[in-house]
Parts: sequence; C-alpha cells; structure tokens
Amino acid sequence: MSQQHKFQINLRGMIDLLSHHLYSGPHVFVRELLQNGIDAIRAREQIEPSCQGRIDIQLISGSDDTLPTLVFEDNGVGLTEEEVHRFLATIGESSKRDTLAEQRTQFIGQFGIGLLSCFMVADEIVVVTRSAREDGPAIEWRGKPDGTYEVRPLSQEITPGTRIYLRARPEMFDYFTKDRLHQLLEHFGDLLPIPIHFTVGDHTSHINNRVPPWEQAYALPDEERQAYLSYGKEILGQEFFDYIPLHSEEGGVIGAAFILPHPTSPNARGQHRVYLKGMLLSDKVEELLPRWAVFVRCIVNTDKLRPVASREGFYENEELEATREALGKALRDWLLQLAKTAPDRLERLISVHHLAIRGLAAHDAECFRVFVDLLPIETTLGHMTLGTYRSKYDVLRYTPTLDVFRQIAQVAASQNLCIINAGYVYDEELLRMLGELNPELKMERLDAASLAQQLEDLTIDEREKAFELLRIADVVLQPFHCSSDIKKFAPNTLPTLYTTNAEGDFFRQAENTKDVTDSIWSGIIDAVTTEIAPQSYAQLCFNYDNPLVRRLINLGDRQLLKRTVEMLYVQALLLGHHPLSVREMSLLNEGLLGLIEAALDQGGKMDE
Amino acid sequence: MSNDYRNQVNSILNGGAGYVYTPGAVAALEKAVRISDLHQDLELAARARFALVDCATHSGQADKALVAFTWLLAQIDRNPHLTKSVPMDSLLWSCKWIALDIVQFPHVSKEQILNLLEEMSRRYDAQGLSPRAVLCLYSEAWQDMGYPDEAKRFFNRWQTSPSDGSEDCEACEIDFQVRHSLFYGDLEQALHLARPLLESQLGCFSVPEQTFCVFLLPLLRAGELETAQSLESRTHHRVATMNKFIGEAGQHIQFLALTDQFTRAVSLFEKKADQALSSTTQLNRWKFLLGARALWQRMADSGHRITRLRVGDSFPIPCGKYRVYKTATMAQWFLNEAQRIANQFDARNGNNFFNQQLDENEVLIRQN
Repeated sequence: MSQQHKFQINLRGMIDLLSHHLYSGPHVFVRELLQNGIDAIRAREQIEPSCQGRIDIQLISGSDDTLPTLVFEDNGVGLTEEEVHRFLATIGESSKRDTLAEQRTQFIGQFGIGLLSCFMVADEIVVVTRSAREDGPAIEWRGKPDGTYEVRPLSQEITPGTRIYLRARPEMFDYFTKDRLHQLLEHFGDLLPIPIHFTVGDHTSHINNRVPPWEQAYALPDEERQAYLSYGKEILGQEFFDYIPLHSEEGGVIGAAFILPHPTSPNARGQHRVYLKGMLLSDKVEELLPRWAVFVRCIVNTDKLRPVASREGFYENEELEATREALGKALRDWLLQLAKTAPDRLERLISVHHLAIRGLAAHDAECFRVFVDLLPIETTLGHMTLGTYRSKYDVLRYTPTLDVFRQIAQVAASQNLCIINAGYVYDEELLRMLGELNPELKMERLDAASLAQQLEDLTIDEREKAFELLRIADVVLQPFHCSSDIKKFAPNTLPTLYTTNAEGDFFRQAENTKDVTDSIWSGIIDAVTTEIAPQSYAQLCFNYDNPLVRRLINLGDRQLLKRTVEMLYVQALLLGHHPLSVREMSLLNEGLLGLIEAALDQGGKMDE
Repeated sequence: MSNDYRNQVNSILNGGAGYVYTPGAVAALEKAVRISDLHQDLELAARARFALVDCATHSGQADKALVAFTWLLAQIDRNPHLTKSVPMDSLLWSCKWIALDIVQFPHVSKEQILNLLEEMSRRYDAQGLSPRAVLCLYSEAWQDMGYPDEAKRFFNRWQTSPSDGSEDCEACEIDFQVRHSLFYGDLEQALHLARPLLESQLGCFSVPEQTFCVFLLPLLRAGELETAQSLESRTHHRVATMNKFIGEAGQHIQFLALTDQFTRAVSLFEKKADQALSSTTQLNRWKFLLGARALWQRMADSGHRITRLRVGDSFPIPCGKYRVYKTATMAQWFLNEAQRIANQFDARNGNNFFNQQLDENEVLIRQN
C-alpha cells in the first residue's frame, strides 16, 4: 500500500545549501552515491564476512522525448522501512548546517545527505532497497524536490541491497552522458577496494581495475621506478623528474610524491590528490605538506584524517599537523639519502628546485649542511654555486634584495667585486646560518648606500674643490628627500649613482600620492608615514672620475650648476626606472628648456 | 617597445602575484606600479594598484595598501573612465580594509578616522548602497579604540540595516558579531554565534583563524582549556605561515606562554618575530609584543634564564655569542615597547584602554 508523505523540511533550501555553499559542484553526486554504496557493503560485511561487495552502475539512454536514467546498485546491507523513514528525519536535522558533519559520521545520516545531493541533478529519485538485517519485504521510496515522497512495500522477491534510479533534470543532461559518467566514476572511485562496473547498452567496463604502484611487488628497482612514474603521468597528466614513495603511520598515509620537472614558485600552493579510504577527496588539497615542499605533487590515500562536511578537504587539526610533519620528514630523508647514493641526480634536482631546497635547508640544520654548497647563486660576476663562491672568496658579500643587486651590479662588476644576489626567499636566512656554522667566515651585507661607502674617497684637496657642487646639490635635492656625496668609481662614463632602498621607494610613492589627493587622505598618509620616514631616503653620488662631473666642479655659473644638478638627478631617476612625480616632471621640463635656452644663447653669441 | 612594459606589468598581475600574499608579491606589484607610472599608463597603473591594495592588505602591510588606495580613489574621481578597469563597487569593497586598518596606526587621530568613515558613508550613499558595511566599520573602530557605548550604538544600527551584497561576507559578519560579544565579555553568546565557523561550515581568507585567535584568552580565563587548545591547534599552521597573521601570532604566543607550552611558543616567535617587529601596523605589532612579553617573562620566572633564537639581523635586542639571549632582558624590552605603543594609542584614543590590557596581561603572567 502506497503512502503519500511530505518532507517536513525546506527541501529547496537544503538543495541550495548543498549546491551553492557546501559542494564545489553538482558532479559530487557521483561521489556521494559511491560513498553510500561502500558504506552499505562495509555494513553488510560486518554481519556476513564472506560477502563479496560489488557496485553496478547502469546508464539507460532516453529516447527522443524522455531523459536518460541512471541506475546505481550495491549489494550492501540495504534499508528496512523504519530506516527509510529515519534517513528522511536525518535530512531534516541536517538542514541545520552545523549538524551536517556530525550526521555524516553515521550510516543513515550519510545515506540521507548523500541521496539528497542527487537532487542537484535529478528531478525524481527512486530507491528500491531490501535489508539484509531483517527478513521483511523490499521497500520502494519515491521522492521529488518539491518535498513529497511515497513509500510502499514491494511484493516481488529481490536480493538484499539498494538500487537508486535517477532521472536527469533537463538542464543537467551533461552529467548523464556515457563519457562524463565514466570520467566521474574513475575520478572518484579508481582506488576504491570494491569493484565498480559501469554498463551502457550491452557494454560493461570495470572502472577501478588499476592497482596503484604502492600496492604492487617488484622484482627490479627499474621496474618499480617505471611503474611509479607512469602512474604519476597517467593520473596527474605530466612527466615527472623522479618520485618519492610515502608511507606514514601518522594520518595512515600511503602513496607517492612526484617531483615536478620544472621550477616552482616558493609561494606556490601544493595541489595534491588525496583519497580517503580509497575515495577521492580532492585533487587540490593544499595543506598536506610543509610549505617548503613545493617541488612535488602527491597522490596519497589516507585512512585517518578527518574530512570537512563537504568532503572536499580536511580539518586542520593536530592529526593533520602530525601527518604534514611525517611526510615532510619522508621527503627530507629521501633527499639526504640521494646525496649519498646518487649525488648527480641530487645536483640536477637542486638546479631545478633550488628555491624549494633553500626553504628546506633554512628549516633543517642537517639538510643545510648537506645542500648548502650545491645551491646555485647569482653574483655580480656571473652564476655559480655557493660552494664555488666560498672556495674563491674569503668574504661573503651579498645584497638583501634583487633591486639593490641591480642598482650596484654594474659598478661592482667594474670594481671586480663579487657580490651575491641574496634576493631569493630564505637566502638571508641561509647566509646567516652559514655564518653561525662557520664563525670564522666574514660576511658583509651590502646595499647601494653601503657600496657607495666602499667606493674610493677623494683626497682632502679634491673634496675642497668639489665642495660647491655638493653644497648646491644638497640645496637642490633637499625637497626631494635626497642627499648628495661624491666618490671615485668605475665605469667613468657614469656621472652619478642614485641609491635608494625599498623603504625609500615606498616613501617616494607616498609623497607622490599626497600630491594628487585631498586633505583627508594626505593627512592620513602623513600620520602613517611621518614617524618612520627619514629626512632623506635616497642619495645621489657623483663620480669624480667622470669628465662631465669634473667640468661641473669647475663651473662658476651657479645658476647653470643648479640646473645641471637637477637634470642629473632626473636622469638618474629615469635610468633607475623610477617614475617621476609631478614636481620632478616640471623640473625636467624647466631644466630642458633652460638648457636649450642656454645653448641657444651660446650659439647666438657665436653667430654675432 | 610600448607593448613591452604592458607585457611586463600584465605578467606580474597575471602571474598570481596579486593572489599570493607575501612580501615578495607586494614587491612585485610595487614594481608593476612603478613601471606603469613610468610610462604614465593610467589604466595599467590603476589595475596594478588595485592588486597591490589587495595583496598588501592581506600580507600585513597596511601602509602600502593605504598609499595605493589613496592614489586610486583620487585618480578615479578625476578620471571616471578608470572605473572600467577598477569598478567603483570593488573599490568600495577594498575601502573597508583600509578603514579597518587605519585604526592600527596611533598617529592617525580619532578625528581623521571618523572623517574617513564619514567619507565612506557618503560614497556608499552616492552609489545607492546599504550603510551596513560602514556601520560595521564604525562599530569595530570604536571597539578598537575602547569605546563600548559607541561601539554598541553602531552595532545596534548594523543589526537592523539591510544586506545588499556590499557588506562583508557571511563568515566575516559572524566574526564581527563574535568579537562584539567577546568585547562585552559574553563568551557563551560568542561560542553560540561562532558555531558555523567551529564546525568548518563557513570561512574566508581571514576567518576562522582571526576569530579563533580572539577566543584563546577568554576561553583560558573561563577554564575551557581543552576547547582553547583545540582552536590553537586548528589555526597554528596557517597563523605561522601566513603573513597577514601578525597580531594573531601574538595571541597564540600569549596563550601558549600562559599555558607553559614554551617550545611551541618560541618556535612560533622565531617564525614571526622579524616580520612582526618591523611591521608598521602598530596594533598588530602591539598584540605581538603582548604575547612576546608573556612568553619571555614566564620563561624567566620558570627558571629558563637564556635561550638561543633564530631571528634576523634586524632583531632589536642584542645577543651574546652563538645567538644566546637572556629571557629577562627580552621580557623587559617587550614590556617597555608594549608600554610605549600603549601610551601612543591611549593618547590618541583619550582613554587608558590599551594600558588596561597591558596590566591585565601582567596579572595573567604572574598567575600559575
């Protein structure tokens, strides 16, 4: 006898919650159905240990005016009539979002929530189920998204298990095609331990017949290597440089890390493919490994970590932290072992992934000791390894940022000074550790200003001659928060060296912004920067060896001297790729016009 | 040639620099701004600055975000066509971050903060948007300055104001309500409000981390050590690795110190000290100082006279050979510095809200 019921919950709201706020898309209904099937089979194994679980999925194509139907069948424990009513109650409770995760941990709870996800793609769901626990009749449940459902006992004899029929919603037709379903079943279920078969027409395929490489035995190391690398390529869609087997008691993790063949940014977030008890949780899990381990992508199966309610990520808890540490240790130990057994391979790996290895070495004293001399560095005299640098030079000179390095590279190279660009993340930290490990090692941290200090000083007499130039320059440059100095340096074609640093650049930007905004905002910028801004945050250093600068020193015309200093300042800014402020732009215009006028005056005199 | 610089800027903007929140990404976007300015390409400069505002805000460099935002607002007022590149509603969305961060600088006066919020109100009104977002900012600003009545007044108005999508995300609004409840000492209500966050049902870039961190001390005071410990564990990794979380790291260190978990606290201190101590956003820095003060004093009191630390060269406290630091010296330095900043904030706010918190920290440090 059929009974008409109505859901006591706002089903539309619930479907909306699932599809818009919980899951990443409707496609997860496939995972939810697989999960329900697996749970049911596990429950049946509890009461019948000899039961051979099996999941069968059949796609029945629609005719011209009917939509396709998907039949999802398992030979699990099935449901009694009482349980059918109970899962509906569970759905009602699950509509309070905060109880969702809790409900999922129970068999009936998960069944209800999983089934509900099917309303994202289907207009009608029919469940035919017979319990293996009780000798009652089979039950049919027929539900619609408007909140109505019917339950009736069936007279025909069927074996225990559950069969779910989904008829496609017209706009969700794409999820009911052979290719899409095959791809989704494989995507979520390829590591599930229970056989999954997919039938379309008279063709049946076994979805999960692939055995992951960590579950196979190998006669030869090469065979194992090939198996891992081709598995990585097949699943992750790219060739890998190498692989690292992973096995950790923490988190119950087994799998492999595949080493990427190209460099990765130290800020890259890992995109790891993680299965939970054989079911794909996500292929974009980020927090599985320590931050430095950006050079690998993992495929792992875990049986302990706790998934979040959407089952598309993990709770950040102590277990995950311990897992992360254990996996980080596995990667590290493998690298250290490689240093002993195959140093050539390690060298090649470091040349590609030196940024990640820098990160590891900065956090681990032993790795630091083993890897530090292999790290490639950029210097003012070319690329080399840190080991080569140390064998050639007694003093370790470095700049803390790339910008500073660029400012001084030309001048330093002319002086034959070998200076390291320590602008990569972790570089400063590594150099500091190197200093700690070798207390006798001399280190010098250089910025453009300190390099200017290393340049050759003038004699007292020469300085006396240059006094007027510096005095005028200070007056001219003071409004621009720039001071002046004079030194001797190569190349002598360079009249000035403009030096600043990252803070200087920021204060310049703040000053320039104040020029274009109103009083409320410029007042706030003032308040924020006043306390920390120095009197001058840039320096223009004249080159005494430059012929033009020599002529300026001897120039009697103060007005022309002032104008020329202004022009040299603007030229130095332009050469250093610093954008000009409104005031600097007008300095350039006036200066250029003034110099043209002066030249014309000179020409006019000659004409006369 | 003219396309070269565009390619360069676009590659910085598209290369994800704006979406990973690190000092390196901020530097890359500053470079993109410089290149665009150099070529006087207003449209590109606006896009680069918009990305910089986002990145600097979420990397804990509010001063850089402020300067870039100010330029954007001024240029968009002058050149309305720039809203094609940076829509006004996106700009107003990021204005919330700026207004929230402004309070972090003690040299920005109360009057300047209120002027800015008034200006925001005007702009929201002109766009026909609900005042909900601005009311929330008003309430938070008063709360951060230690004015409970004013904070309550704006909170009540916020509760009845309509949502239209211009307000904060759902997770942030819960965070706001939780903070409000905790500000008035209502832990039970705060825990009730926070349930969607505690159950991992909701979250965004800053939430639930920043929410869980404000719970640590109240839970500890209420004797709910287990819950506090679980929240500490759940947020520790992200707080330790993400640049935005400076004040939050201080709250972790404070909690760990007060529960005598010294190893974990020192390790977090090492990870964050360089960034925290050089941060210009003083409120965040101050929260870090409070945590560090608790850590070193508790260590000194429990007989750990010295410690070795892996910190950068800019670390302000002198050390002995082999980077050995005296815990008592550190405790004193952090107290003095926290005191100095508390005085600046209290002078700005016209009350003793910060000194009170400092006194309370001292009491907790002396308790077992």
